Amino acid sequence: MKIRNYIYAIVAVMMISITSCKDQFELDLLDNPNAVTQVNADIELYFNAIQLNMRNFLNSSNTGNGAFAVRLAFMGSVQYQAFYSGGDGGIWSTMYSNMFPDIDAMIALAEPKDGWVWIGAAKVMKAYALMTMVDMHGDIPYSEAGQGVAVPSPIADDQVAVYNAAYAMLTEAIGDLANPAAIGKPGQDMFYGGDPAQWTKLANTLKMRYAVTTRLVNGAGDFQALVSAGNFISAPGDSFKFPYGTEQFNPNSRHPFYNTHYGAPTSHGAYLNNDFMWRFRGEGGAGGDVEDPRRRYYFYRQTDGPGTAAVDLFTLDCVGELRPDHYTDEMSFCIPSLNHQDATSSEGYWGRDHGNGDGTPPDGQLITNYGVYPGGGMVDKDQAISQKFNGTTGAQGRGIAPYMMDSYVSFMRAEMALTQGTSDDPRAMFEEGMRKSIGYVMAFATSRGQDAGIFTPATNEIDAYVNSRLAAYDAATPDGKLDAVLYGAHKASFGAGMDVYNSYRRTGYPSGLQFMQEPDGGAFPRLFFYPNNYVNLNENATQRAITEQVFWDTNPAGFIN
Amino acid sequence: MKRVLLTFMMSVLVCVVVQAQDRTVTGKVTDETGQGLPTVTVQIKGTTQGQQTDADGNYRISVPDNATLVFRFLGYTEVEEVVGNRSSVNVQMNPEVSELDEVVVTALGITRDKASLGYAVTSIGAEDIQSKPESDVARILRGKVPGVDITQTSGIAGSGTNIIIRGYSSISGTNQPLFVIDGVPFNSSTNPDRGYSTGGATASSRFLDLDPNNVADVSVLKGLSATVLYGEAGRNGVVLVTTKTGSAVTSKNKMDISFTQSYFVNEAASIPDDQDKYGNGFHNAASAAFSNWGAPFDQPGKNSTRVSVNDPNIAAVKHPYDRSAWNDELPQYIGADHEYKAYENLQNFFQKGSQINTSLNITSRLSDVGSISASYGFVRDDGYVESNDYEKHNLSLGGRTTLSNGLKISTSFNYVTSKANKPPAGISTSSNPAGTSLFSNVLYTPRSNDLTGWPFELPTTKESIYYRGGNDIQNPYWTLKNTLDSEKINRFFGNVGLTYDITDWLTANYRIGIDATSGVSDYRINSRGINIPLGQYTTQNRLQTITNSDFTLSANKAINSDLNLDVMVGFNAKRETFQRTGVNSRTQFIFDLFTHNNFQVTTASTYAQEENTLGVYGTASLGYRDFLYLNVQARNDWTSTLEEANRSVFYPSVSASFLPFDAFGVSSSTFNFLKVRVGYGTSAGYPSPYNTRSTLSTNVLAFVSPTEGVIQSNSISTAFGNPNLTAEIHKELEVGIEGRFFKNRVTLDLSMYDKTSSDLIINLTLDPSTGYNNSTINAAEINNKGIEVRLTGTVIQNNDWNLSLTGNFTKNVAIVNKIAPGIDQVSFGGRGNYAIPGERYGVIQALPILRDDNGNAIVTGSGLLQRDPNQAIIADPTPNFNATVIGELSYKFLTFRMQFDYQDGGDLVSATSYTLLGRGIAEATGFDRMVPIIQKGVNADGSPNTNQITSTQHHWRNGGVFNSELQVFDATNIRMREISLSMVFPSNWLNKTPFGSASLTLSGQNLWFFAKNFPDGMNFDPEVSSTGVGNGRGYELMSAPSARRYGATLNFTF
Repeated sequence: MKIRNYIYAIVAVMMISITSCKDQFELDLLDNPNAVTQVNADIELYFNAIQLNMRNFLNSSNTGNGAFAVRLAFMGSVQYQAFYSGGDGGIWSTMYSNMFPDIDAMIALAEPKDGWVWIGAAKVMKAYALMTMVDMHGDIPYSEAGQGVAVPSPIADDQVAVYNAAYAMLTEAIGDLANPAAIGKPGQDMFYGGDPAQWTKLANTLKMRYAVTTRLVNGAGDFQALVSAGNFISAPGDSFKFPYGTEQFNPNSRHPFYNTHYGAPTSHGAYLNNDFMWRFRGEGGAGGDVEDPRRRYYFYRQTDGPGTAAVDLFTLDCVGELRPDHYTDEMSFCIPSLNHQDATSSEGYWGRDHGNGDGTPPDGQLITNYGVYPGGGMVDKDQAISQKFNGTTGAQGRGIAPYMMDSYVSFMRAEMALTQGTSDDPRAMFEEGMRKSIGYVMAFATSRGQDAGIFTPATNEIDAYVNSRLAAYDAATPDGKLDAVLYGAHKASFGAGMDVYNSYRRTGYPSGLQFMQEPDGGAFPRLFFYPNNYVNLNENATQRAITEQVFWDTNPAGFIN
Repeated sequence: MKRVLLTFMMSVLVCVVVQAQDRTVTGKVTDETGQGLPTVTVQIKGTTQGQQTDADGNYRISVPDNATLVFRFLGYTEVEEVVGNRSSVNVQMNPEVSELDEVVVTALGITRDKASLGYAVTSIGAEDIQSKPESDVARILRGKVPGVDITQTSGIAGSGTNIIIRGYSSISGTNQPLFVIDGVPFNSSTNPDRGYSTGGATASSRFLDLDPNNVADVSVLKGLSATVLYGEAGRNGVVLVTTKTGSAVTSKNKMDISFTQSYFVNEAASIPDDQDKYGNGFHNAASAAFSNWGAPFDQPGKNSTRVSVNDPNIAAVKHPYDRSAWNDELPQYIGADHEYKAYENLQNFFQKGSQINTSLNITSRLSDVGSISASYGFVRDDGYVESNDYEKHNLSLGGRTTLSNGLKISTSFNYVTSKANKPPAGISTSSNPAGTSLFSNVLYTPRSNDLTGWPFELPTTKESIYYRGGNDIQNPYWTLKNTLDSEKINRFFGNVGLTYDITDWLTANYRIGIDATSGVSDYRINSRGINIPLGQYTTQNRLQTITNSDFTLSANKAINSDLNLDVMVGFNAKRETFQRTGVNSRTQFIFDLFTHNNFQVTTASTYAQEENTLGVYGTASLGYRDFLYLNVQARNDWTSTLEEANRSVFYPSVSASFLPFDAFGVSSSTFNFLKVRVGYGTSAGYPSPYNTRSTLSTNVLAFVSPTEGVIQSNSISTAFGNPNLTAEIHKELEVGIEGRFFKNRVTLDLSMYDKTSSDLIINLTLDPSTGYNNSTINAAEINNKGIEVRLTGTVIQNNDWNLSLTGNFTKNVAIVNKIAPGIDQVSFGGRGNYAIPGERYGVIQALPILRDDNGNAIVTGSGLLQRDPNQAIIADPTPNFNATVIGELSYKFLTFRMQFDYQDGGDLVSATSYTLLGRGIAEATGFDRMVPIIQKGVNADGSPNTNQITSTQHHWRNGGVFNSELQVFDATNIRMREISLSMVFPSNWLNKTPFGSASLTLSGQNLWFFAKNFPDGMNFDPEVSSTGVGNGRGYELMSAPSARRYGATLNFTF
């Protein structure tokens, strides 16, 4: 044997291994095999993602911070400062990094194909989101946003400029939606079925919303013109809302309220606000007078009331506490009941007071649930049965997220007529708003197979409620009239909240919202803290005090709490 | 095989005959004891002609004039003899590895005289690894190697282990070292199926697949100047393991058989002592709270208790299982009393587990120039809870042979099959766990609850039941019976190597290795529980393969009598592929049946990844007169994870060692040996694949609309693909001193290093207003400085007695120098660890207690602590230093050994500790609770707080559960890591037995520890890490306590 032969043998082995594993030498492995590249993108699929992100964005703003502040939802912290600290980074990413890049990319794809309905609808959503973001945060990045690592710290633009840019975008969108060259329409438009006329109504309504929101600095603006043109949300079918489904897992497509209150027994659903609930049982001060027809649709009681089995000082420890001195006589405390703190006269409404920061006792099967509207749960027929099952009862989550309902428009028109002297009859608009809200809620329940049976409010009961509110309106001063209207809007906005938060800052109404439980709950947030992912990651960002005010809020410091 | 070898022999003989030699020389080769040494290769220098000694060590060979004979035998120092005119040449050979001239394994398996190295290498022999109460090689090494920080995730059998060598130098990349088994990279990854918060921390680290009893030697290469030849894969240090089968150690004996049998007991090590005065409740009244701030036991009839019907001195409450929904199924509780007193819950919940370990090694010399080795190992480890066990079979076969004309073939094949069953161990921060978890609700079981005595399920529906009114805690026993997280692994790893001496100074080597791991994991949760009431079944299949080949040419030539040159060049190709298929099912149909068909909703996912690295490397060592050595190394890599322009990275290193005593001839019996070394090394770090290009996210099931049907979507990915990404660069300067003193009885090995890692790749979280949530960029810089000392001393050494002490000391400080402009911090590890410029790596941030400028807590109007809205550093999890002392005392055939490990400093967020305090269970909460307390602090106006709050509120609301700052404990601790007593049976006892040797070892691990800064009675072992294997550190979140083991090992050789 020769040395050479061994060398040949070694070389042969190497050749075999090299040829059999030529993969071994490939270095161009840069495209992720688990995803496709952006050249595969599709307009329709972008539009679907945009709709879902719009829903996520509006849910965060409507059922999140704003709703807590105005007691549409329970706020479990003794101090505003502490409750809002840290901000909600989700809302920032939902708008800026999830929704906007898709809108921009979709528009770029759709323009050469004359997909003007997609483009117009997307611009309406973008404008709506931008205005909402300004409402919550004031100055926000806009002109330098969306450029990736090229501009890692976009500066915040002046809020007025962003607000006006959003308004201009609405005008642009209306033009796009009317573009005669438009080819096709969205195939799976969950809001409006691809109807450009409906999107146009939303765009005009958002212009009305712009006028109402900025009225302290701009006056009536073009509100009157928009009303006169009549092309806005005025019928239930025009309402801008997101319809949820019943699919539980793949993916979970049920209303978030339903998931938390009718799903797994361990997920303790959020408490509802005691005072808010009780004012549906009997509005108008101690003892209550007339029942709100929506109460059995908004709230589902899992129990007959404290005092029965399984309730002790532990599950409802506020029973042993003194009513806060600063609470007015009208405000519920601890247990919604006739005298506002009496277990024996309670009817099973079980929530919490504004700013109750206590831990969570084992009362998930006792607390009052969201009802059939808007979360797709149960209608309350005095069943008093816990619904902490596995998501099989009630409307099975087929609820809606009511962002801009026809009733809200009526309340806006009433406010503008009262304050800016626009041509509408404010009293008629107030009545219309209440009747639209009540009518829609009841029809909704029926459409979801959740009829209230013998508890269905009769026409005379509805009339009695509406008339009692109108009587109060008639008896009130001009300010009191606005208070009554905005209280009507507050109650109609269950499941939303952003616009109520705006009007609260704009007008100070509705008055008499339940105070923080602690007397020193701190200053009311006139703007929210910037989210951490903005403040910590953007070197041009500085955190603000929540006492700062948005440009359209010219009211004095500390005028609301 | 034999026939082939015979053929070679024949051809050699033919050659011998043909080349007709002049004359014959005979002789005998003996070993150091004078015994004849068989099968020694006797070769004529400069030729390939050779012979072997016979069974008695005799040889006969024909030689030309002026011949020099070379005698080679593995493990012995080569001997050269000039024949001259002798006709008989007798030779005595001595073992190669003597204590004084230590030979160590360095990069690529090259053995070198330790004196010549310009960098630190620590070797651990088989005797320190085998027969330990632990089947994880990494955990066995704890404390034994200075500079290496090894932390377990928990005491669950089969759980993962973190290994950090010389500190953390990467933020987003792995900091775990490269494992090389018998010269081939070894997959040592940890693959959790789920995040640490839902139980991922129990995932096994794949070095668990090694059989400690088959380890011949472990070398740890710590610095970059030692690891540069491994390229970027070696940047975190390299653990070189030589297996017994891989090395097929040739011994003098024809055959060695070694058999080891162990049995160990396995227990939970840190079970807290509880107070025995108060029971379940809140505000001193009995109730079905989560907490234990209830009534005192000694006041029956008061504080919401009643007097027990059985005993007027015992309090009672209405039985928590007496409720209308359960009365049909559990009629025995209708109207029943539950005695309100302290129950022994934890002591009953945790069991004594056991570990059985069997191992058989056979090494045999083949009749010619080769050897073969086989081994089988079996481990069965039953953990401290019923549902935890681990079973592993290791089969290994290795062989090597040197063909008579020089071609060397070595090979090693290993097959491992293992199965680990673990309880789900999701985290908990004081109440119900994230996901489902066995441990979270157990540790704070209220004292008055009879966890063990009560049924855990309804008899017919099997629904979990427990004491809470809302039944919102899953009964821990239900979890124990109805949930399982298991993993089965089948793994093959092996290599074939060929070596040929082209001339007497030039050698070619080729080695190919394959490591293929396939695993199936299985996560089962029955329906009818509380956390996941509809049940869940998740399976994942993984296939991970590493293919690695190296071709090297090495040369060793004496340039003149003073200078010796060693040169090697090589080429390396490494390919790593990973593929995963997962199926997740929800909504179980038939209870306790786990097939995907038995679930209503099933979703599937796949993932694939491939990564190639090509490298060219070279090393040159110049030795001058055995006292000055210079070593230059370099490697260039090309990676598939970076765009072409950034693909190629070159990293050089240079190191030198100088032996002053040898140079100046000054060694004495006091100063035996001294070496001064200095090394500078560089390395790179590549990003994980697919970070340079943006993708389109697609979702096939985004929503199911009631009107529009299934909604599908595509989106711009929120991760920004960064085409300009480059490799991380690491540079390290290392200096060291090694010395031996006092007749070699004291040895010192000291290293200091300064490593700067720059262009560190971070997964930068972006302000979303950039349009993206994150991107991978080169930004940060970290500096690690540290010192490692190993000091050994032989205190007593005489015929019968030997006492030796070893001390290891490790200190490492990792400081973040900078991050990209405009970025003031980067979070990593998934919880609260941060990289902040100027701060130590991994500091923990959270919202601290609101304080005024003087540091006084500002309380609310009701005297409660508040949180500051601004995040601040609350803890630094890095220890100040770690130290180990190992003492070994032997007397004749008895050896007693102890290892103590000490950690100084290092903060830990301990959920177990703050929860047991906050929920009133810890022994330290047995004080008089009727006395109200005033929180130290000031009111908003600066006046001192005078509000009284209940002791419940003080410890609950003003305690760690609500205040992150109070969750932090200093984890300084000392522990007896190992203790053992072994007896080697004297050989005269074994004369009439078939055994060549026999020994018995009694040993224990982690039998004692003390963490002085934890609350009294907590018995808390801070050596756990709930964030799992990765860069997160400093969190204990009730995922699972640590373990201790003790037992016996019998070892026989035949």
